[in-house]
Amino acid sequence: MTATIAPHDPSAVADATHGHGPKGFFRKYIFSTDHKVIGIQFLFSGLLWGLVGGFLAMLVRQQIAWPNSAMPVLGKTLYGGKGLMTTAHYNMAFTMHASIMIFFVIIPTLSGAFGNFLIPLMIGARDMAFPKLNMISYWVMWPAFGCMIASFFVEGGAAASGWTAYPPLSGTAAGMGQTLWVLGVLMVGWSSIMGAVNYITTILRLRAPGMHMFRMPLTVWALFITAILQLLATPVLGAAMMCLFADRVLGAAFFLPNSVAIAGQIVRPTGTGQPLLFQHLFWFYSHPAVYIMILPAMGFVSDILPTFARKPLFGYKPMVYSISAIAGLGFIVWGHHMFQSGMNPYLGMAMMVSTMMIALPSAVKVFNWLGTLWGGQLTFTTPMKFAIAFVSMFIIGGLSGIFMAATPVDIQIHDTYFIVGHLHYVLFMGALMGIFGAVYFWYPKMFGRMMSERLGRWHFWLTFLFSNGVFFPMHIVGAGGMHRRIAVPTVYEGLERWSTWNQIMTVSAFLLFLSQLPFLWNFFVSLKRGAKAGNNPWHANSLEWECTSPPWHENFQVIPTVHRGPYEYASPDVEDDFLPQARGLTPATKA
Amino acid sequence: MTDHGDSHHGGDHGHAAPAPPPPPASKPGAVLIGCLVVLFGELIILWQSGVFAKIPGIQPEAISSYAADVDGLFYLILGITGFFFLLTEGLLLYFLYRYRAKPGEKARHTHGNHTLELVWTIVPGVILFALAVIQTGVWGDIKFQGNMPAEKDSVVVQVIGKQFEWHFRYAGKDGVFGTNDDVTKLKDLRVPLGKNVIVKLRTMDVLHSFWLPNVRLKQDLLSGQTIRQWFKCIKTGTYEVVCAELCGLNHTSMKGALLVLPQEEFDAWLASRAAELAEDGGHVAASDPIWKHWKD
Repeated sequence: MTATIAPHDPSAVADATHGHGPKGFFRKYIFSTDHKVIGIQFLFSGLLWGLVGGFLAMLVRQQIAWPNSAMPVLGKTLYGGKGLMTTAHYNMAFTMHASIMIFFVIIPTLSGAFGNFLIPLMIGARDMAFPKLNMISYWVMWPAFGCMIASFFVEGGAAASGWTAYPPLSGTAAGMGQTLWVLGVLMVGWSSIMGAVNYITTILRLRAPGMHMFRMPLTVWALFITAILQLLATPVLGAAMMCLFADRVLGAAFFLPNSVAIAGQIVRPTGTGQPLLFQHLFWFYSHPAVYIMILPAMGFVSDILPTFARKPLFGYKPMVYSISAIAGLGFIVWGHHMFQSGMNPYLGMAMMVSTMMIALPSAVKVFNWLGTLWGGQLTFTTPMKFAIAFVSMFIIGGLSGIFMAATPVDIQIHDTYFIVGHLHYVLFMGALMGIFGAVYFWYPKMFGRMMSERLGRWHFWLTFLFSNGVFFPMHIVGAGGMHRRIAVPTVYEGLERWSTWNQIMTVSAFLLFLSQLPFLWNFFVSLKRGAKAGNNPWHANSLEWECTSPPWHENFQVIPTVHRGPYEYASPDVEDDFLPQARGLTPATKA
Repeated sequence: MTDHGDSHHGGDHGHAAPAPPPPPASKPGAVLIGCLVVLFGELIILWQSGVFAKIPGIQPEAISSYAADVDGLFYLILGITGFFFLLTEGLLLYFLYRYRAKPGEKARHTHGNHTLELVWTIVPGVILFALAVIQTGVWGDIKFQGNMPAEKDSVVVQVIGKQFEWHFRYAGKDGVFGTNDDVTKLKDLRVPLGKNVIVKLRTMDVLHSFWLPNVRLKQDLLSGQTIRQWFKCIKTGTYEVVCAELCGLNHTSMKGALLVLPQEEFDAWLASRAAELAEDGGHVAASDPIWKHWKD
């Protein structure tokens, strides 16, 4: 990699070739090294996989609400026979729903799409530090996509041991599906690591003159800290996947003790493996991964709220410190996924204390977002609606986490729908609301056109209503004793009282899925028909709004000089209610 | 107050469209702390008095000696989080209404407030830490090996989880496991009322999780290890035994029953089950396909 990491010369004007970039369809749109194109590639793959993952969730919900009834229209094509979902299909559906949503939608969209698109634009760089590495980080996703798609068609079907893939179940599952899953996740990990190296280097080395670390927008801070998490945690997941691969394919026994008998046959007569080791490795990655999936969204929200409150972000430095604290503490709380796993209960107690403590920086963030709204001049555009929804729903997701953190309470609600509700409040109502807000907010910059506010309004209200309709009752049925990952809840007499609730949740889920139609329509039709966006349609301050919409090949004609932080709204120094980072003030221009 | 920007000069400026000066921060901060201390104190007192445990809940009926403690903690957390939920969402809604844009007005130009930051860091910090400490007693009672009742005063049951069945074994008349008078039973776990029960959990294959929803006990079965847990039922009846950890194709149907019987009925059942096994040719511990795998 021979990238030049040199400070920018602010006086350098892009020469003729800068403005045009590579010629030819393939170099320009397919094998592109332009961070903006790569970001948009990640965004499109994310949307596509989001539909697949969402569809799988519909299959799961249909089965829970109306177990053992044929799926209308699609059933025979999907399941064969009479169109009934079997428990094998069910296990595959929820496993692949979670795997796809986490590894192919949320992480690649937050870090891959918005990280790529926004970081160079927001810090005033012409591209990433390692453009070719960046291209590879996207293209390594494709073999991973291939593995996941192929796994649906191999004998035995796709992986069916949950997205957590706990051995011995995952280590001994027959068929190619689980192996392909392991390979897919391993390759997504490579993509994450390559992306992380790039983001960290770019942010540390390629900032425009005057862009001190503490003048960076919160989005960049969040993506920076996320990249550090990805760089440090993903290799551990890689190790877990390699060991699992060896257990499955090479006859190793990293996670298999000699007592595991499947259908009466001892699987590894000389095995000295330890299944708990996998859980430690897995969660050592996957707990930080929760923050990988929420911190960037927190960053977006911290940029959207001030823009539409026309008011500086409340407590910029506390916000930065709390992101860092979340990331730091995030490495010592993984055991809270394992309170009932057979891990030493004394260790569980220590993990409970660190887990309770990680709620603190999250709380600080919520209070500061509220502080940002206080005394503002709020306009409720679609991105603002999603950002506000993020804050209010993250409160629920954060508070419900405290129940899970409390070890004695967790005894009862561990592996129930309570945790399913909690994690969806964080990942759907958190990460995805953040993604929607970010799409509406930066779409004009990406494509030069505005999305429709009218359709945005429909999309927002329907999504907000039905997502609560799906996910809130999960807390209730979970506390009411309904465990997760069961194909037929009515097998349990104690769960019959929740049948109606399950049907309400399922109907809401179907409507939630349909509520994404206005979004898709809006997204694709606005590419051609949206109103032309100027350079700065929201009157925002950060550097990306200095570029044309969409920005040209090397982003900036002249690398801007940064004079101040990104949140100077309602500044008394100027007449306007915003003061861009790149605008120099002379006595004459001051109000 | 303004600790990051360098283009502005101080925090709360007045400007052309005068916003009301922000109230001094220390006062509402002090009031807030006061309220929270009182609230938290009250919640603790209520929790100690056991009121929360009596709320008719959505939870499965509680039948064990420690279920009320677990539920009490659940409702304590519900009280505290419920308060903060109402506080934050209430403020959010109020701000959305109160600060909607008005033409020609500028927002308040402020970058934050140190006192507020300190208050809303320290107060939740103290509450969260206290909340963690409060949990440790009940957790230790249920899960610490050192706190478990002595085996000689308890009913000891060995449990094997196997795709997709629960197997239970009692020591039988001689009080020793692994002998031919052991009493085994598939699916149903019978325990006497009011007596400490120690279950020793082991899996033959993949992970399972032994969950008694009404007892408030859950423990994963970890391949290669035997894990000891305990409980004491305080109400008779028939309840469910659930596998709470995905264990494969028929995970859903890995279900058993927990029957809590008065001591005499339990003893009678144990004797009749032993006789039943003897009639069938006797339980031969060494050749039993399930139980020969047992290791303590």
